[in-house]
Amino acid sequence: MDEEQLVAALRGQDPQTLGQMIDCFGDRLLRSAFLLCGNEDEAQDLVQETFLQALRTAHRFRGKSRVYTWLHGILLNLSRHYHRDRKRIVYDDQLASQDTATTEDNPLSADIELASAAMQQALRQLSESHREVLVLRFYENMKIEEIAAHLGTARGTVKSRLHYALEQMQKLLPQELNLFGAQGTEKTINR
Amino acid sequence: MNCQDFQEQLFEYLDGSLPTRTHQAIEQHLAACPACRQHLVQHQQLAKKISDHLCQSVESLALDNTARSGVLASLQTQPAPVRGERFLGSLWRPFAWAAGLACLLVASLILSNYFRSPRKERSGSGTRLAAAPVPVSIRVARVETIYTSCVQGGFVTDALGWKTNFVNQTLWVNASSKSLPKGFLNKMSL
Repeated sequence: MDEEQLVAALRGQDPQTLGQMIDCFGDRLLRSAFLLCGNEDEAQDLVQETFLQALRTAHRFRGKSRVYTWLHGILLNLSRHYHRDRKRIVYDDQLASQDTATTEDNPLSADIELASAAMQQALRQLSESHREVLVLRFYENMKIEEIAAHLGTARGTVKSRLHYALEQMQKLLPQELNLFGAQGTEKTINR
Repeated sequence: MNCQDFQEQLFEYLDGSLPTRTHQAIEQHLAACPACRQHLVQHQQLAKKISDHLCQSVESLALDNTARSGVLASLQTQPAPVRGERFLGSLWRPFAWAAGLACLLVASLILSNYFRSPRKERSGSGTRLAAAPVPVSIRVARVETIYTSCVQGGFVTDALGWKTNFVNQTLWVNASSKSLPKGFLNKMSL
């Protein structure tokens, strides 16, 4: 399905094409929402509201960006509104506390889950603006220029936020990140 | 190109969004600077690790059927916005601008009137009238004591030549002022 068809589906509110669009972008948006807010239930709500808002405002979409980018922009705004009264987003530790019994047979999987928990912990300690640039850069794989346009900020601001976010991640995760490497795995197994 | 320039443009260099000349300058700098080469490698490794982890940590998540059906169900309850409605909806905008300007004009008139009127007491309840500045012309014949506090109080105009000679000068004072010290006029021979 091409972009024009998607936009036409949104404007015309064709259920079949809309369903295809949800299937196409829903999971990706959900994952991004989870990284931004740290809670799966909230992420589900945010994505549903994103599509509903997209339906309401489809007539304003001028096709200057890709449909996914536009949807993600709506998601980002909703996420900010959702958490504007909170100084710190409360992440749940759902992924970190998932069934640990199954990981005992697989040390590599255990490494990944430990590192994942550590990463969630580190993400929790970043401010919202730093987490946003980190997710857009390293999960959405956006270029600096695209992030700046997406957030409505200057490129210099995006770069300085990224520098700071990476510095923080390095400080918070010096050992846990090594779990991804061969040495880190050995250390974890020997523990 | 120096190390600081390189670090400032590192992200755009990795994006491949730099102009050709700048890109080549960075390549030349990297060829000559082992520290920046190492920094680049470390940055790429860290970026890859973060990127890999972010993907791994969410790959098991999928959108709920409830959320999906909720969106589709809304199609039946929510009519599609039509172009005519949008047009009508945009008609109020010029009026909003006019109303905003009118409010601003009224506010500025009220404020300017408020600040231009010295007779109104601005503090307190706002109903009490301040002492009316009725100037009184006094012919000074002789001065025995100079009250510098009166000068500081600002109730005597500066044009009098206050500190030099009072004799035969016209002194303008605020007749109802409470700031003049008692006996001020008594110490002058009027």
